[in-house]
Amino acid sequence: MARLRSNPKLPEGINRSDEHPLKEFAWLLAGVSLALVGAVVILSLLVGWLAPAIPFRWELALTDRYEQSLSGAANESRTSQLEAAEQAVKDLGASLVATQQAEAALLPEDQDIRYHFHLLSESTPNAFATLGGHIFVTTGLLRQVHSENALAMVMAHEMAHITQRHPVQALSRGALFQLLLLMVTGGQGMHGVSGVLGQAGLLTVLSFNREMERDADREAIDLLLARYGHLQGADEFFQKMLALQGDTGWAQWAQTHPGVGERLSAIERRNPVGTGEKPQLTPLDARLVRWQEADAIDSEATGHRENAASQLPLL
Amino acid sequence: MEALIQLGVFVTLLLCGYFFGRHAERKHYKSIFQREDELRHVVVTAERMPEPELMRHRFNLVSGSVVISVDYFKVVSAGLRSLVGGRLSSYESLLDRARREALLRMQAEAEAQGAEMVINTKFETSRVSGNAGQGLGSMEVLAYGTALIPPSVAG
Repeated sequence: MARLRSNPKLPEGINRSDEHPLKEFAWLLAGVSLALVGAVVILSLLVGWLAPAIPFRWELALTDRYEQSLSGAANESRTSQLEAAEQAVKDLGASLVATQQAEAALLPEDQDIRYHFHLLSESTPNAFATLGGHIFVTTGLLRQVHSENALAMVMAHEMAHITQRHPVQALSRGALFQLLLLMVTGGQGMHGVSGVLGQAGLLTVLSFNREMERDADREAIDLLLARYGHLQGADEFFQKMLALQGDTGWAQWAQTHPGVGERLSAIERRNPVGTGEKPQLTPLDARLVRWQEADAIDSEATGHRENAASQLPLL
Repeated sequence: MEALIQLGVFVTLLLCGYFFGRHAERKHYKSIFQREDELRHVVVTAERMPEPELMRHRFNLVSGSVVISVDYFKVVSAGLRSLVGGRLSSYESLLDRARREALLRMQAEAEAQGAEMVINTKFETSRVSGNAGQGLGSMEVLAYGTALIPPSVAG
């Protein structure tokens, strides 16, 4: 047998496929993301249905442990004006709750629900509601409002989150989503994949989040109408947000909140058309005005007032 | 906004991986085809014993080694594939290149010594550790064999 004098030329395409890598990638990405988004949608719907059935008392059991440390830490280095302002916020909250109690349609399903209002020393204009019925308003937000109506709108919005049990829903949704992601990727170093799937799932969760914000706005409007009979001034804070950060527009699908423009027009639509005369705005509580004045002097003296544009409101 | 930034970073990494990886692969295959033609006269077999007519040749160990790394696009693509199963074609082409490059380097080493043939060719591969299971993986492909050098070549 004659020995080989030259290596033969082997045919290509046996050990590798000539298929375009993007084609395979597109199919995989579409299929897997669709499956995950479907799973997240189903889980989120289940959460929306089941989470409100979690007794409010269980939330309290979780938060009561932190409450002491919270109030303890918050009390240091507070001026009397700030204390008074917090009391004013609590009083406004209490009167909103009283309005809510008077309207059967606005009452929460769970009778155990209690609201606790807090004032946070934080320059970013923001307000949020968390587990256990705790509602936080930042001093940065107080700086931005000039009527009780505007502050009441923000607080009623946060109260609606609590009434509709949104914090516990968000918690359940987040936990389930993480669990699902962990199950699919096996919790190993599949960084790329959990990256893709994380994105797909996150965007789905965000759309549920925006829906919750719309619901909360709707209920806040109901509460404000019950209390003041009009929505004048309710949009003050949203107008500020619009001026500061603009409308999100096209990027809305990646946001936690609906666009400011959309929220403003929701308020506009529900505002009863007056008979020519504009309804009077309710002035801010005197304690809040005093705090605002003291704060303005204080920040002028120390030059500590940050550039407002650098702190985008979150709400 | 945060979600958007995350998505942007991810897509950028993916696109970088795709375009650079694709470009490198095209270029590499072109060079592989060309060098395979050039080195066709250095015959490579897996035969364990030399042919009787080559018994008087000198023999030498020759080897070729390549370390390769996957790109981000291939990782994501393979990761998605591993959820549903099937051929990991994004890795297949990468390893095909590594294997052939290792052979070519071995052939080049044999040719430099004046060999006409490499017998008893074997492959080995090992993972380059340090990033095992995390981030982008890299591995070594090693080809080695016995080069047969004609007695006429001085050495």
